[in-house]
Amino acid sequence: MAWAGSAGGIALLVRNPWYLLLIAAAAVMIRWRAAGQRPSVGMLRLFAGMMVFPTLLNFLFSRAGETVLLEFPVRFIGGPYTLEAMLFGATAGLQLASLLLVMLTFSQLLSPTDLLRRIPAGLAPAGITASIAMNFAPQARRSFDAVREAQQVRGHAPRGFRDLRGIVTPLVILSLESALTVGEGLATRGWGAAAVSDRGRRMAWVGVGLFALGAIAWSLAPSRGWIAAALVGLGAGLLLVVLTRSGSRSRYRPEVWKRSDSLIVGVTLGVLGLAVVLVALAPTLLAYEPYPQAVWPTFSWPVALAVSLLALPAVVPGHD
Amino acid sequence: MIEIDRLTYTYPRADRPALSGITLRVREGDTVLVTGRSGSGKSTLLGAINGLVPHFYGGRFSGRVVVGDRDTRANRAHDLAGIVGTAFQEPATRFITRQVTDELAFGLEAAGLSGAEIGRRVRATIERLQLGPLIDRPLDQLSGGEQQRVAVAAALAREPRVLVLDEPTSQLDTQSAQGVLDWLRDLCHQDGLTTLISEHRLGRLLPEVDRVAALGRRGELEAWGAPQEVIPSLAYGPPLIEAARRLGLPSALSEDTLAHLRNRLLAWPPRPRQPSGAEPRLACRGIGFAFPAGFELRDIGFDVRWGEAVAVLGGNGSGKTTLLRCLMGLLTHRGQISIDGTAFHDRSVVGRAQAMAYVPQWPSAFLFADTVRDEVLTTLQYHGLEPGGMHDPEAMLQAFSLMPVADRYPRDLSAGERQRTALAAVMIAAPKVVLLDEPTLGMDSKSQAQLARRIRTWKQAGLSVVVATHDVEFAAAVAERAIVLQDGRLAAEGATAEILFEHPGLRTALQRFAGRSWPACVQDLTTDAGGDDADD
Repeated sequence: MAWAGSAGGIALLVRNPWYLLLIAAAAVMIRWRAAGQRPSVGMLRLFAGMMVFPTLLNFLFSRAGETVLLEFPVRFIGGPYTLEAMLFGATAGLQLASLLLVMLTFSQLLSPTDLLRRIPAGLAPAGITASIAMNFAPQARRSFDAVREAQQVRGHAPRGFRDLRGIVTPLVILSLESALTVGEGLATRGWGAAAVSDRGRRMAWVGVGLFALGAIAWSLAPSRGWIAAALVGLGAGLLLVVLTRSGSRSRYRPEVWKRSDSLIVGVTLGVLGLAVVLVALAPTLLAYEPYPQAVWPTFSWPVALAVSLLALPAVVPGHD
Repeated sequence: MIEIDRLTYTYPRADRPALSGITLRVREGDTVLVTGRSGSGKSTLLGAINGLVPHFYGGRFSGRVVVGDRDTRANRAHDLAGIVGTAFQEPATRFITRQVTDELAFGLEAAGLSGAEIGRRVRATIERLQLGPLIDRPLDQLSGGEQQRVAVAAALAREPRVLVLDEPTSQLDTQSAQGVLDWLRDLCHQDGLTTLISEHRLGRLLPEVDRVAALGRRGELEAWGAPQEVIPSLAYGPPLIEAARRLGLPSALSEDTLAHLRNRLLAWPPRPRQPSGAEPRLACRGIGFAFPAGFELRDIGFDVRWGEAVAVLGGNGSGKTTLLRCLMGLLTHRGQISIDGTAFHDRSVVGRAQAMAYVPQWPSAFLFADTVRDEVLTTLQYHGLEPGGMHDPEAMLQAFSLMPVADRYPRDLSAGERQRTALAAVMIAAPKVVLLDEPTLGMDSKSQAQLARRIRTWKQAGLSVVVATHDVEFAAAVAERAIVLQDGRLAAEGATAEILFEHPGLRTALQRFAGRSWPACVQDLTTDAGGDDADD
């Protein structure tokens, strides 16, 4: 989870294609080594598709940039079509694709049940929602196959995107039915019972109140920020206590925290921290701005090395 | 233990109540069978006891349900989980974890028991329920019967006082179903559990239950009492009662009536000779398919003649569904398939659909149009056929008694109606061969009788039918011949009644009762099976 949080966070902060590619490569490596999922043609196609679509979209609809590739003497649709617009779209696609790979790796390594168990008892409903959400994609895939199969059995040869319209509704319904089924199972097994006691609920409200007071204090007296910070800190502490102490959940097979886990958590959170600091202090290091005229993205060996550390779970076995 | 007082419940956006004015009281330690037609509200009633109704689904709820000392209006399903254990049909879709022991421990973790206590209870459950061989096995690699046992064990691990079982044997073959029911009976007797079971297979369960709650079509309590009082009044009873009715005997089965029934069955004329010599319509040779996980269907060969039905029998995991999926081309198989002498094994699914119709186990994914009528029209459109003549949608809806629901959303229908919709959606293309995979799953007795009658009509029209089923009563009612699969191999082939009788685990209720192969089912006692198609 620490790795997914860090890699996902960095993928959101970074726009430089070199580092985004490094994040994607780390995700693929971890998926391969830890979950036994070799990189496949399907995965490559998905990755390419996620890059091509925004590239085309931006190329067609953005008019910014100085390197004109195409221009037609037609109003509105005549261009100019620029290299910069294409590059901007491509980096946006790369960012999305990298984020998707991180999430795919995360869902491959962490089952919905594991996620459910790791979420604090006070957040039981959120845990159920997250678990159902994680189940949704694989279930949607199964539903998609089932509907496609049913169409063939009834004499229909799939013809690509044109068929999607007829599939979307049953797909959504089947997937929601499946999610409801999981929800029924969780409820009848006692998940979420008395997740937050009345006392806990009162404490949580006090915490929320302190948060609000902190915000008000900040807006009224920004020069005395320490008062606002203290109020927010106190509120956050109370909420944390409520979330971690409420409910009475336990583990049959508690996991043993190993040194490798500490190493992975430390390193990945460290990389995230570094990225946050760089965004604040030297934003150009992680960014890529092709406008107004396309340039090669910058490359810094120290930054690349730091981002490469996200591949650590591929070589150091840890928990999920 | 359970008190239900004037319970009326309507699902959100439903125009009529699913349960209507139910009042009953279940004593501690009683085993109650909840029965009724498909869509009569059996699962809803069980949901009202475990708290899913109304908290999980919403809707309008009036009246009162008290379990132990807890009013379900003030207690949600997760609050009641400590006293009510629930096992659903299709347990595989509701497993939360991936391993048997984790699944048993899940509810205990939710209850916040200490690790040591969870371990003690998990071990005790495994020992008491004899689940030792299943420990640490992945849940998705268990057979249907094993999965059902794990689901019940997981419900029992929290040591509830009430056990709610929604069709616990619907997916199981005869032997597995009997095993689960025997096991449940012992548990209930040992632990004094109050148990409510919704089930269609009445025959095997009746001796074990103390009370029967029969729900009517509008969700009302049609009958409530001891089995001997309630069962004879049901429109469709278990096979022995139906047989007694067919032979003009009282449906309350006293010792005298049973003796009389046995004598009549023993004196029944032998099975008429089956006409032979009809040309094979569907010919299968050397059908095989290997799954990466290891299971393999090997070298299956059989013929289905014009106007004939062949039952594919075998335990859970024997390869019945795999065989049908191979025939339809949904799996890339070995071997040859021909219809009327024309090779079909080299055709795609769509190519085979020109002559074959296939309806899978659960037709839910099969139905994707907005209305029942659209389902039928969609198939015509897919096949490029014009409505009319033998492809007349209105006539097809009429033939399958679907006119009253023609404009309804298919997935909102009862199990029987959905099955009929799926059948109409494939039969509109006028196929030559029909492949049905477990067509009676979730169907009540009356719907099963209607389907059996429909299959006989198709056969008279010259269609060939292959039915994969674990329902031996249904197989006996519709199929002239049967093949038995065992571990992916063809283990036996022959006339259905003889095949069933030769395999003690497959014998029908009449065969077990009379100790002879013929008559094998109620339909053998008369040439006209009767039945009413219009009221599902």
